[in-house]
Amino acid sequence: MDKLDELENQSIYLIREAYYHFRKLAAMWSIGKDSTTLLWLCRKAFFGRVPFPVLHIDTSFKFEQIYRFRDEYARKWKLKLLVARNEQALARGVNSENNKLQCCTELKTNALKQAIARHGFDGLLLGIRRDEHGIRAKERYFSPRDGQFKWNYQDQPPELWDQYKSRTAGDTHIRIHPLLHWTEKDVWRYVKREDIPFVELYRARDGRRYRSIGCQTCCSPVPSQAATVDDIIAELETSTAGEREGRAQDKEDAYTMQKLRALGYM
Amino acid sequence: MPREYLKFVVVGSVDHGKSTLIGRFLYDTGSLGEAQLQVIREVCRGQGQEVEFAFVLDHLAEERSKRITIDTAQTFFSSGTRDYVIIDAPGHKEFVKNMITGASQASAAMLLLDVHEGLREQTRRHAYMVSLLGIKQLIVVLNKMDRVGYARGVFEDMSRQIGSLLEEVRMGPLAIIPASALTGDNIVRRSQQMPWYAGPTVVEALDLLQPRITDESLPLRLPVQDVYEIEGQQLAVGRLASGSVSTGQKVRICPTGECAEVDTLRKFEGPIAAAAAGCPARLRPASSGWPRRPSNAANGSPCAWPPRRSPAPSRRLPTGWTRAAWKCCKPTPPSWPTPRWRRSRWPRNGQSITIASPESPKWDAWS
Repeated sequence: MDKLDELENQSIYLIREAYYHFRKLAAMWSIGKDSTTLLWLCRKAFFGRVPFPVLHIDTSFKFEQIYRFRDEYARKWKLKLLVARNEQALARGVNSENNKLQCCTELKTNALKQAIARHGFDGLLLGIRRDEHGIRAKERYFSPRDGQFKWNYQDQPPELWDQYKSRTAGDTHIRIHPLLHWTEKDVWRYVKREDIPFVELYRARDGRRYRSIGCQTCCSPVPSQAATVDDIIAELETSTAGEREGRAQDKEDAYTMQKLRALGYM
Repeated sequence: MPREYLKFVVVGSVDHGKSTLIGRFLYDTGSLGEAQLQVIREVCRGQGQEVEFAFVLDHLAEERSKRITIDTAQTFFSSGTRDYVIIDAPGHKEFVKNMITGASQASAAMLLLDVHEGLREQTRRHAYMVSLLGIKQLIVVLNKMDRVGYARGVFEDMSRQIGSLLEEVRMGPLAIIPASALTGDNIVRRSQQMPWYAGPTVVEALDLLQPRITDESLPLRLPVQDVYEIEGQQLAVGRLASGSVSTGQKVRICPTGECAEVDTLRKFEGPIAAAAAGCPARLRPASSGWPRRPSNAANGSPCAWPPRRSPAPSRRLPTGWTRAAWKCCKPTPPSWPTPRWRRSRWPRNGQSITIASPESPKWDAWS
């Protein structure tokens, strides 16, 4: 079997397991290439319709292109789009200038907490991948979060073959990661094969492109000439630079990502 | 060109060098980014120690300060022909559940042994676990040869010991390699210190591994994951575990034991004729017209799903939809149908339903 077929099969299997196990399931959509691929797989898993809401955590600092893309495809794909913003924190003027850890926690993690409290989600589909970051390499496909929203990375549940953790007392929700086993290259190869739309920021303009997108304030483009998907794949074949090297929140110190994730960050 | 895809797990006792081996392996094959190395150098400097290759995978702060692996991690490596997934497993006794979590995903294992320390309880336990999990392919790496002066006698003695251990758990290693993850001897680079060893290096030994083969000739097993209703048609969805399925095929539904006939097979883009656990190249839509709309695909009377308590002797299975067969339906039609869709009542109620080939003699055992 072709590798992409195998990856796709596994992801669809996971998405359906999640849908079977959780009453209140939602997919998190950051509008990046990974979560857009995740939505594409959801559409495939359920024959063209995504039967659960799609949640966008909006920090209000996202690129304009991201908002446009979100609204266009939410309409085209008939998604039930929910936008979560931590309005209180925004009113207090929280931003990334002073403290990135605090900014991410307030505008992403806490916004997510509020959304979960409001909608009562017990399962969340996320498009994170193991090869993005060493901390994400430690994740499970089905990963529980406790009452304080914490990721207990020191004591994760066992996960054998295709048996996954479903809910137990004490967990607020379970995160499901159907793309965990994909690499950045796999995603781009799949985007090419399936002709999945993506935000233009990933294409090189004036010799620079974004490899990973999020808030305008904390993402920087990398030097690149890759303007097409083929170029991007070719670029990744030779590059050993990290995918999230343009993401400021990963770099404050070696363990910022671990701290963020332990508190409930994506 | 389809690429081969192979997952292997690195196991062995605590401190025998599993994470270091993987870090060294990635470093010597040029798979690590400069920025990644820079971070590791800084962390090591902060802890006042030499560059530690294990930190490539040991990413938790607790792992780095205690210098042990706590949880399993996976990393990716590409050779000229293959994409590898390397699964690091913790060696510590307390983290066996994390080790089997990693190992259950692998189709091959690499067992590490510190020649200076010899066989440990955890070496035995891991060898046994790997065998228990059904992993058939094994490479043994006798690590830390630098600590015993690259002595051939030690290597031969350890080979004998590990050989008899593996015999106990009914495994035969594809290779036993004397190596040093710390110095890089026989990992990627052939060692100058051990001219007496003519076998493969670690990277060469990976070529001995075979990707997992899903055998179509095995009996059909399709665990039903869920049932969806689309445009009045009920679809049992699942992923083929083994064998193949085609329209018109007689199948048996376990555990009720009812016989049924496959009416239609569908994938996302439309109906298909057959699906197999293995090679998708065999699969082609039955008709030349493509694609048939799902609403046209229904032929025959409405079907009851799940099967009722008093089963008819033969029942048409509404739609055995399988996951393994997407590729055959390329290219994707320009616009996908958006069917009316709702979720059917799930019949499982704690029991699992499997669609199997009718000749399978032991289907009772599935209940």
